[in-house]
Amino acid sequence: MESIEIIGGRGTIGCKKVILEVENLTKHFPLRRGIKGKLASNSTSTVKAVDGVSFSIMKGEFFGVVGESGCGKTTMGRTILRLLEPTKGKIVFKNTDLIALNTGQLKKIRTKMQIIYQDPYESMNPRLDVYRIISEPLRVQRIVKNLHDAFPYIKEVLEDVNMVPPEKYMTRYPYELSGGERQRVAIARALVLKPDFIVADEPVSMLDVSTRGGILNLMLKLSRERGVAFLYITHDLATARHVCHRIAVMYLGKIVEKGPTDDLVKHPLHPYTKALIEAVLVPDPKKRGFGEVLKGEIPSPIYPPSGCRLHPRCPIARDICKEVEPKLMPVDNNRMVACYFA
Amino acid sequence: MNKYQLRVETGVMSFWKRYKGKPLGMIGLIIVIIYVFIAIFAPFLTPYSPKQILLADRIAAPLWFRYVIPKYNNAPQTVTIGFDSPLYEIKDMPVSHIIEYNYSAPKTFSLTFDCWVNAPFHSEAGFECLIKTPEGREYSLWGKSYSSDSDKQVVRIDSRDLGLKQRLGLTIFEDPASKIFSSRGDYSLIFRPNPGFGDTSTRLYISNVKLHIPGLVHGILGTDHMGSDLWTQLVYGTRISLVIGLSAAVISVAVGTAIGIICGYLGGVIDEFIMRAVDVFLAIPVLPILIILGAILGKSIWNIVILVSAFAWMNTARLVRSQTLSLRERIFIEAAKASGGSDIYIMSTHILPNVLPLVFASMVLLIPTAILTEASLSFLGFGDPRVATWGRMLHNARGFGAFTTLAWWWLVPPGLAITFLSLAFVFIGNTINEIFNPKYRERL
Amino acid sequence: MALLEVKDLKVYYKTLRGCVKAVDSVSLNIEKGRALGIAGESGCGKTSMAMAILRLLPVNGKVYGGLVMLDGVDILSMDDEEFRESVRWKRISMISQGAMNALNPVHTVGEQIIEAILTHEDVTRSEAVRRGNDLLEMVGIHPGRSKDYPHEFSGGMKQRIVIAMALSCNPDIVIADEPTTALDVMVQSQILKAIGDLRNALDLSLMLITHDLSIIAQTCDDIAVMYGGKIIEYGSVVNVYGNPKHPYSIGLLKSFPNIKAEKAPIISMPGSPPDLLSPPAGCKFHPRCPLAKGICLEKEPELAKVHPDNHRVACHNTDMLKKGTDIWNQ
Repeated sequence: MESIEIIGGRGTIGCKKVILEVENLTKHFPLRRGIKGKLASNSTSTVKAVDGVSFSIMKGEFFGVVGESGCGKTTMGRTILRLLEPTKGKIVFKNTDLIALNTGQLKKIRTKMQIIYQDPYESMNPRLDVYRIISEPLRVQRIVKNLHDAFPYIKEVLEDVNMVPPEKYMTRYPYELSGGERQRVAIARALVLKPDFIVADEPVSMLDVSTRGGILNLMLKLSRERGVAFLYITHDLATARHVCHRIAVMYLGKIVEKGPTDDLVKHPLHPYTKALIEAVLVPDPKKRGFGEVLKGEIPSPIYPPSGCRLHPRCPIARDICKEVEPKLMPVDNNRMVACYFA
Repeated sequence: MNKYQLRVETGVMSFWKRYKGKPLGMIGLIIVIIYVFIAIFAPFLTPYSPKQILLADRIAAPLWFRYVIPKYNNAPQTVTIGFDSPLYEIKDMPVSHIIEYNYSAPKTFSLTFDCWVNAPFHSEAGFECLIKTPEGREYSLWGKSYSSDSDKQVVRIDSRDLGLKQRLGLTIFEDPASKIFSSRGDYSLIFRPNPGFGDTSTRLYISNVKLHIPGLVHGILGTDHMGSDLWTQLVYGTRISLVIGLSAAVISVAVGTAIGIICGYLGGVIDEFIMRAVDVFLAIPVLPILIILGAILGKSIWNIVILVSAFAWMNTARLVRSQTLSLRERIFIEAAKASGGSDIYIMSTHILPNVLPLVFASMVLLIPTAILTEASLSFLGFGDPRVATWGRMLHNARGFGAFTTLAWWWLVPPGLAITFLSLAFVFIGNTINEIFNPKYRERL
Repeated sequence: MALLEVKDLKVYYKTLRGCVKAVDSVSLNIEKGRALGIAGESGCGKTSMAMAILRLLPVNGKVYGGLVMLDGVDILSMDDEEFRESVRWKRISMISQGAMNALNPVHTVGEQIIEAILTHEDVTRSEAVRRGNDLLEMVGIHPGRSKDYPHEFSGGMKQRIVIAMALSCNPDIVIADEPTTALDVMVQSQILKAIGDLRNALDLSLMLITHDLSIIAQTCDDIAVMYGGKIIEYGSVVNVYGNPKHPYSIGLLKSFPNIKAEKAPIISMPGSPPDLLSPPAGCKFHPRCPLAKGICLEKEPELAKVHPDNHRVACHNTDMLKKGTDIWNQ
């Protein structure tokens, strides 16, 4: 069993058990073609959404994955939960190889891993009320026999997400709730099975600013008090820095840098991380200025650049970057970076 | 859990609230309710059964023509005299019955009775049957002598019978009915023994006497070529049309929905295969195939229902499949999967309820298609000959000259009945679409 | 005199469930060459206000009162024809959030810019072509690409083209409604930089509408914070960010993590923005406000000056705030 010293935003967590280990995870989407393309299947081009990603998450850890849209972070989150079938790689969750599981075993282990989505309205069936939405996992997993038996669970979990009194919210429909309340219901649904691991895919980016803090603090509380590990997927480094113990930065399907949050934010090593941090605007009119950002935009993941994927945009790229892809190498103090010149 | 039921009810209520505001939808609903009412209370709306024939002359006009159209002022209504006179002894003869007849001359009449003789040997028993007009003229319709006991004989006299014309001394172009019943007043039907025949011990049995003078006007809508009541056919036809329309629509939509959801959700080879089958089915011209299959399988209502359903599920399947394809990508479906929901669970709990509004509207819109298909088949003569349907009424109307004689009371009612019922369902379907499926709003 | 002066503007929507007072007596000024940021969460009325100024409100929305003066001329009372001819696009133009997806996919971008110029101005085609190329160059797109179609550009490039189109008739004021919300952080940074550069070069006035306080901090001179259809705090960015007076503004600022400063806890305000169909009585913020007292529940506070530098706040409790207590300390 691997043990890692985590120095996170909230101080040392100490030696903890690994709950999830991802190794060389790869997800390629074949490009849709007509029948002709299917027949000549050996020459299919693919979207390389996730391309060989490895990391591990400890019990109770808040692990952030940060990247711009199209970097593959969302696909990665779903592939880890096997909501998408990985192309290759290894996912070990609580000592179980997820990829080897059959449908029945997978269903059973889903009680221990859940997901929270970006859009709390989209992630709930608009025809169901809060009670039914939250009780769904219980019923599907046959923890309760019928709707009625789910009541104590739902009451408890609604209280856990600060929706009090719970009875008031049970009969509401998603459209009758505000964005923050909807996201709380989404968290309640994820929590009702008492999971050990939750993938939170941009859980606050659709919410009003004034309600974001509440959701983030709620998730922090859950990880602290119940030891729930979070994979926090976001494009927003500022909130990631606020909640995460460790952060991995993704670019075009690859992790380019990984490390404890404060370390990574204060002393970014990879040119992409540097640019990403530079680009974050500061809500302070006295500190004006748009930092040096990378030129251009993310290239297509169908034809990623050779060598280091950042090299066409990288300010410090040299010849070797165009040819040989840098590996994610440990630097010091739990940090890893994939750059020759970092 | 009562709270939940309450919420569902409010859902239905809010649908009804919005539905109420749509005039076309309400018109459609009212029309359909009227039809359903007619179908349920058919036996109370007409005294006849649709299979009863000879209720009046063939292709009789509606009764109310007498009060509206001068030509029909005195048109005869059906007069039927019947009695079960078990037996007469000759000594009781002649027997006569008074027939009141107050109309202009009919086109035909018929008389039936049973008779037999129980006669002593060597006596000549016999009698004749005649009608005496109010003016006192007598028309002998039938006569027979017996020299021995006879078995029971069923006598049928029809005014169109050439033998009768001959007996009455008429040419074949003359019409006994109009000749005999040419005036109004009290006619007598007389059974009279042969003159000079006096053995009183002879017994003559006559029973089941029935004189039928079919009218030229009848009922609300007149009669068809068999003298069957058209109003009755129309009323009972409502039942058939509703049953066929509803059951074909329900079956085809159920099949289409199931196939659409399975194809859309599972995708892959099954989807590819079934969708190509749908293309094939859609390319088949429906009516000819239905005619051929109908001929092979036999003409029955349920065969028609099954055949119509078999060729009406494809559009629903496509519609549901495309809806399912977009639902499948919705995040709440993935969320259900993440909770461990199986494919069947997701299809039944999440996808089905979300396609139902669409399906419901398309089902309502399929009802008129089914009704019209059945009507077309029946009109072309491929319907069930044992039941009166609107299509069959039109078929008969065409076959027996209602078009050439402009017997509009035969042609128009079934046509209008089909039109209004179909239109009503279209109104309802469009209104439901308008409420549930906002994309359709623009089209109205 | 201010270039654009909005006075007591009221925009109401008639909906099936009642009247929504989306913008309720909003007054603001934009001087020549200044940039005003309008901050607020979804549903606070910031977009409705912009739409009302440009007369682009949906059919159920109407201006129920107030004045909009452009250079001292009331543009609200103009008839539609005159407004279209002389104000919209020529004096006030707009960059909206979805505009980059509204480019016509079947025309080249150059063609679309030229079209915009020719529609609004009486110039020859060659003049329009020349100006179109200048505009593209100005927003950082090589003029040679004017022959390309929208799908050949990335999201950020398309947004640059939209900006070029907004500038095509030399407007005095550009209203930018969430101009970078759909874009990634790096592209957002590039676009905002481009907008800032253009503003300096052309002496443009800008009204920038966003929910993101950091964008306003980086690009604007003044800020108006809106809540429930009203401006609740108004002043220069330095004053408002440095010394916010309204509990909502304070909370909002504390909701934004600052990656380049020491880590501070993110606060969360209880509740959610008001439902404008049935807004709370008195101060619209009182159900969420930690300082709410009797008068807040009854009387709606006026936007009053709290600082000589024209820093104005609509709150009954500004005195309490002076003590500098951390009201959102949870």
